[in-house]
Amino acid sequence: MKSLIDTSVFVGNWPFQPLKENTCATLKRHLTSYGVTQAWVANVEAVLLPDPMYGNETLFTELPSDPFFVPVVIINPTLATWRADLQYCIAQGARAVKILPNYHQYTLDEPVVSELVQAAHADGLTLCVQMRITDERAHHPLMKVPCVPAAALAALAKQHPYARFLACAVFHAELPRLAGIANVWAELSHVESMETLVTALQVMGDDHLVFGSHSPFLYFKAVQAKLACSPGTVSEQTLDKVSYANAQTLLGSDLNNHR
Amino acid sequence: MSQALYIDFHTHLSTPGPEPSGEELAKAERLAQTYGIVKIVLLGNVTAQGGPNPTTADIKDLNTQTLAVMDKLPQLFTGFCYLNPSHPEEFNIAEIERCVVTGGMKGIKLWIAVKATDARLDHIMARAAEIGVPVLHHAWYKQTSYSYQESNPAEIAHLARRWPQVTLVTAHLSGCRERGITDIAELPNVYIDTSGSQPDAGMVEYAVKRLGAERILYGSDWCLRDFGVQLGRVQGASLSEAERNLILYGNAKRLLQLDE
Repeated sequence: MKSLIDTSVFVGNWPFQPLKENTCATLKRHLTSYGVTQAWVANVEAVLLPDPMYGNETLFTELPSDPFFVPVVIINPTLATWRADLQYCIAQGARAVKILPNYHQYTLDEPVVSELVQAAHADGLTLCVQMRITDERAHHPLMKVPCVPAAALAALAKQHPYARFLACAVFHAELPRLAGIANVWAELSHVESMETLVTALQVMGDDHLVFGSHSPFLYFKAVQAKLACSPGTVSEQTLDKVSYANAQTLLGSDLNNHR
Repeated sequence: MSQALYIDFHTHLSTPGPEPSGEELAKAERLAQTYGIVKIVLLGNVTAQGGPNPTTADIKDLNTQTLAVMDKLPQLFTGFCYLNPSHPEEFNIAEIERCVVTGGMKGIKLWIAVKATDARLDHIMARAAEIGVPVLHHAWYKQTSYSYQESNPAEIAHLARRWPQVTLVTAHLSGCRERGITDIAELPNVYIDTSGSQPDAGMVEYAVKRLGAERILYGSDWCLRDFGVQLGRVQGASLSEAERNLILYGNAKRLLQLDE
């Protein structure tokens, strides 16, 4: 394996789980100790703060100027200022947009989402759809947030076949809804079965799975174990695709030119 | 991939009926070897047959299959006797006799047929105390709906207080979470297994702080989960090597009374 690209990590605080490696410096140290060569990072505080730009601004302020981190900004398209905010974030170096329809209380079939898809695509940005932050069974009793339905993401992706979508924190049981859609990728952080990668490849094929650890919410070593298949079950070529090559395709090339 | 020795305290197979699937056993054997798992505790195929309230015929089938697996691969597999406390006492006691006393199973598994607080568990707990085997009970705190008569960790604690002479294993660390760990913290006869949900960072360290590593058992919930991922939850936690070895091997060896 030549590289390991982690397509879904966070910095910042989350009120429902103490996060250990949650600054750019500690997270980079943690991820590189496991061999990660690039990480797509968002500030999770942008999820619950009244304006996600609080979190995005902090991300840009704290992000070191090295290509290890790919900045992902969280946009809430129900806020009147989202268009200007997106352009500002792009100017700051954002390479992908993350949306959380469940936390920001809209659905993927609303017209403004299509407008956001088009705006992100116009600047070559992948749209990361965060299906959940944590297992719904373990939510705070005063804050139960349902997941984003995989079928809704599938419908959105089919409506915009030119745009690239990444399903973040999707469960294994939800993958069939996303299978066979050329412009949808899934990251592995919440995908699990008796032999995770083998069965996930059977559903999604080897061009549409990417590695994502959901750090620092999950034990990195546990998620990384999904790439450590028993001998003879997954080819080196396929492992390379899942570990980094598909992520490179998803992000687009010339990464270093953007920051 | 790994030379260390691990004991997995929480697994199932997915095949219904009294006969195990050769293909499934071969897969379990291959994956166990890949990850260094030397002993697997099979708790019965609870999701494969009988649903939440299995009949006596379902129970007999599932336990017969566990015995068959233990017979085919005795080095790798041991088993727990799966019971439904709502069945007549005579049936449950006879099943314990067939599977544990005669058949060599190492404990009793209870799932969601009856709440842990239900007095119908008493004859099973009394027999477990007499023969000195642990009882592993499903538990979860859910903000979504509970399944059938599913118990939460506070209800396991209630059972543990009524039966302090029985070793109880609460299943599903990441289902019980902090509240569930505090529920059982002051009950020294209660252990917890590490299976359940996603490998949430910090949860194993929290359990060690509250319970001590001596009361935590590695469990995967395979075949619903991945051996490697669930091992990684313990391997990736910030623990001393002694604590990690207890969780991954030593505690289970002691509870299962395995020879060197």
